[in-house]
Amino acid sequence: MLKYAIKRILLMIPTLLAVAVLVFLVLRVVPGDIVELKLTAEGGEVSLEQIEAEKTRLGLNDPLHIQFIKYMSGLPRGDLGISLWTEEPVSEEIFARIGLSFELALLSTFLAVIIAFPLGTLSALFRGTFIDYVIRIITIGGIAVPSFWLGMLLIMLVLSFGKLPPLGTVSLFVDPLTNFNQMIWPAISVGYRYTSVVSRMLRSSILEVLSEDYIRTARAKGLYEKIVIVKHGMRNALLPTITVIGLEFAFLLGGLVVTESVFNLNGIGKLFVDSVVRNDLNLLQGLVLTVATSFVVINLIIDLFYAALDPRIRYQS
Amino acid sequence: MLNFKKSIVGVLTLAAFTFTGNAALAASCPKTGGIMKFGVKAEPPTYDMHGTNSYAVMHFVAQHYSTLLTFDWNKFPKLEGDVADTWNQSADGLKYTFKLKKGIKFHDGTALTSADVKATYDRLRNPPKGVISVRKALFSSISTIETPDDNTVVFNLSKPDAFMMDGFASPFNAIYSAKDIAKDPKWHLKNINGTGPYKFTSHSKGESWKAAKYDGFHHGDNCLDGTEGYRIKKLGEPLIGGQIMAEWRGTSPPERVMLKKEMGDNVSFQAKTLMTLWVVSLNSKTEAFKNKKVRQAINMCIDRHAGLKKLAKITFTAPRPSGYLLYNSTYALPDEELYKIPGFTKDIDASRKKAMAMLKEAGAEGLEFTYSNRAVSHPYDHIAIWLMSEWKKCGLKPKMITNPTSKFVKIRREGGFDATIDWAPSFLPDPTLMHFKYISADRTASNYSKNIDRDLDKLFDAQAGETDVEKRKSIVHQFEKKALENAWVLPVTYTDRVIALNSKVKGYVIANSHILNNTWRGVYLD
Amino acid sequence: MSEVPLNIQKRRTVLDFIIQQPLGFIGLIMIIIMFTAAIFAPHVAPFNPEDVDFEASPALGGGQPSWEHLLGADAFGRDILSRLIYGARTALSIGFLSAMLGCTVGAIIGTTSAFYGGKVDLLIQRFIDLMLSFPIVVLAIVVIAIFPKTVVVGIDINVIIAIAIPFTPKVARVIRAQALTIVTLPYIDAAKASGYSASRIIFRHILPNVSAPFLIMLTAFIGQAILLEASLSYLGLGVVEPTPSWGLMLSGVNSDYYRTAAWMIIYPGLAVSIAVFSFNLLGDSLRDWLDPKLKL
Repeated sequence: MLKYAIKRILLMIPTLLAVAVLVFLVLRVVPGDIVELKLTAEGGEVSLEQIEAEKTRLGLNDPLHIQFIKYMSGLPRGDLGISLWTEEPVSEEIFARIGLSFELALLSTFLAVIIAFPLGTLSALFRGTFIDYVIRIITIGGIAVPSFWLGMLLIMLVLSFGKLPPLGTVSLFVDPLTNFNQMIWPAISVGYRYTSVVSRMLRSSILEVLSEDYIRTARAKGLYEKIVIVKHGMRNALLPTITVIGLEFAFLLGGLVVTESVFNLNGIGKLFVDSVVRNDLNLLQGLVLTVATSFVVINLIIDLFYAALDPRIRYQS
Repeated sequence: MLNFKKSIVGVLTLAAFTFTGNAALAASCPKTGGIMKFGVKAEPPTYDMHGTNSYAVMHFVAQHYSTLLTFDWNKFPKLEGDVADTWNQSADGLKYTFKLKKGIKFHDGTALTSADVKATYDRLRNPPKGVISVRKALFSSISTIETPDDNTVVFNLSKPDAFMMDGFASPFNAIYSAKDIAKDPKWHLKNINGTGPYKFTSHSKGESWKAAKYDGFHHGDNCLDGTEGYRIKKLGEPLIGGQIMAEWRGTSPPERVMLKKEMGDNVSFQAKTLMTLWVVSLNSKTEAFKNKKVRQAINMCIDRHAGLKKLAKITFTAPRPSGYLLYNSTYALPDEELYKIPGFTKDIDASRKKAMAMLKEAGAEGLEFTYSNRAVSHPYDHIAIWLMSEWKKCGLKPKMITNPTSKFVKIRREGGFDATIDWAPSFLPDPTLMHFKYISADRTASNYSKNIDRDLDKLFDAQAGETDVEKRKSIVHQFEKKALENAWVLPVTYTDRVIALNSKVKGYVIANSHILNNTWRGVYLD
Repeated sequence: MSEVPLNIQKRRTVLDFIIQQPLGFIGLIMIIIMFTAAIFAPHVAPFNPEDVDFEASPALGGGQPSWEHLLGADAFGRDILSRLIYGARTALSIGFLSAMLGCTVGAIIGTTSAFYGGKVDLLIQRFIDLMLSFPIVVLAIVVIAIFPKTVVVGIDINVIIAIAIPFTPKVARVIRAQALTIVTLPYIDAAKASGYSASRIIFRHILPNVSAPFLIMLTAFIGQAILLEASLSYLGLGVVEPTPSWGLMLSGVNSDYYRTAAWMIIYPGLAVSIAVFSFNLLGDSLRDWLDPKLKL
């Protein structure tokens, strides 16, 4: 197991390197102009010379290979360069915000799991019945309703009952109640989709378990027998579900883009949109790299988890 | 540089050399205490007031600093002293002497002296390497700065410059401590130490900016315990939901209706025309636009009378036509003259009919052209959608291309458009400041039409050197008429700035610009 | 991965589908209605979606849903129903084209990878893994950030590409797994022995046999693409004014009104939801019907 784990961790490095190179190259295809934006978007008389001088100062006029070497050599030290907008280290900009996104992702995972498990199981046990149809409609709806629209409706709802939670993220450890108040609505608006995805995966996994040959011989006719079977086969059904939970969690970190904008939350999703709008290439590449890294790491954790549960996997690869 | 400014200086000189700008000293707080929470829709790119035009910096950072002079907001643009106690100007206009108030201390406890003022203005007019001063040109006529004693600063000018006095009051020219500048010229890009009413406490990136009352503030009219600025995306819900009490940039008419409906007496509004003019620049490289008749026809299809009234109800534009200068301001073209110029006439049907005939004559019937728009809802999308529908009424075929700001400014700079929205912000209704954008492209970086017109340049220079108000007026009027008839840059309208405050917030006086009056002096919570 | 139903021997008719998958049938009907409305938009929509009529703006006191404007009017007095109908054009064209592009490219990559095997396969797999480590929205926004806005006959090409790129690796992975079971079959060997070119084998022999998962994924991804387009437009990074787009109708200009003129917010959101819902229903049912074990 240890050997397998080490091998997988080592394999991660070339993937991440490739991601880093890809991101760097892709973002330099058509560079926008952050300097002009910074100096003249609010109006004002700024000469071309001043703009060029500022670009040189920020290193934007360096030849591409110099920029590339700077960027790659900084990576091992965790140095992602400076944000072209604030001129603060990219890593600091991200670090200041990632906690919020992480907490939001965790909270919606929690919501999704506790709701999805009963839904998915019921739907599978009562396949083809009215219950199944209702649950399927609800969960397909979850994948259909845009989370930002759901968020807007939720804000409307909250406003008609009282006040919005205060602005400015309050730490969970300082004031848990306010924190919960700030987090719960966005968590619901992304959690609906999340719940649906997990519940659908669980349903189809359980159905697969039910249709396996060795179980079919148990002549699963009544509901009671089905429950017995599911109990036995749950471990097999759980594996793909856990994968989905893990993958969705990883995607959430980057996928909160829209929700954070709706709820005005200062997470990395909003930072991402800001950096695109401002053309802050350094920040953008740092963010993409962070999101991709967290995805790769979570993927690794899932794989290791799998391998621990199912020894065959270790030997196959 | 400017005559309008000279007139201010004139007023000041009349008010005698012993002018005391300390009217605010008497200002007291009807109530003290409380934290004022406000929203800002943008993120400050720097902490350095000298290197930016950004209102986000202004709204967060201005409260920490003082300037040499400031304006009396009730009698704008009348000047009053901030750290300066008294001041005078030599008869030849080449020497300005300021006496500073005594006992002013920076937030870190060190005393403010004339050396700090000198260091600040040296940094502004001659920034050290690696520091940007976007107001470098503004102070180019200063030759030396002397500090005869700790409380006296003398500015020596190489030529008379009427803009100087307003420059000293410009809210961006915050006074820094000489020792901080000496420590590191870039220190102020990321640190704050001023003499303003509120002390910097913390900045949480992308989220909040907190400040606490500075007990040693020299005017003593900092009534709040502190302020908290939050980065917001929209004003409506945070204000209704009690998350913030104010936003200083402005609200749109429909938002106002919503706020009034939701908040009733808990919201108050203040309105003033903002000195930002929205214009459409026509590209001088576009073949069809080389014909003056075509440009005029495009201008003549816009209904500036009934149309602007309606537009003003859906976005924050002014409900009436104007030339390049703010209507009703000293130098603006009087309405009766303006309304004779093609595109500004009252009978829109006749105007459009004539425009279509002109287009036909020029072989530009149903002309297709691109219109570059900035992907911001208010007022850009609103102005754009309105203009599109106006132009279509003449059979023109405009194509709207909307881009995020960073791409928009690039297209604007590189001339990748036929027509583009553009804006001319200002904080004083002065012809030299405001007409600078419309002179030949080789003289100004902000003429995005890139046209050359030496006659206009001559008129511009003539008015800038004319000290007599009436004479200057007539030259300015000639400039206006000529530029408006040339129709390279079409003024759309000015801006109506309306701010929404929670009714608890009292003691604030709205100014003609969202970059003015942002130190929250005199503001208190009821 | 599961076995592929290679030759669908029992005849499957539309009638079977209706009986076995009523939900999917409902989805199909709704999709047909939407397509019809979109294609015949000029005949169906009561107004031109770009016609500005200030008198009908809620800011000037108008715009409530009425006989004239069934679903009300927006800030500029533009008819919401007409904008929704024309918005269906935007949504469906972008949704269909981007899903089609993503699925086709993905299918070609997947089958090629399976056909050649060995190092080519490994290389392609690594690249697919790489692409899969970016969340869809993130990848789409990055593509938006690089490509300049390009509009051809009223369709945003850059948005289509931005949405298609994140789908491609997902499709490639699924199709490759399916194709792997096909390339080992005797008739492929026979084709190889007959000296057919690789492209002929890929396009004539392998691709037709992965049509079931292709169809399922296409349907599902059209729904996802519509949702993604709405999100991008909401953020101001996708379709922009004055083009009618459902996501755009929820953002910017209209969001000022959502306490005073809720119809501006409710209907576009419903339109997105219903459209995506229909495609998901159909996709889900197609999967149940054609290939229940397929995992996307």
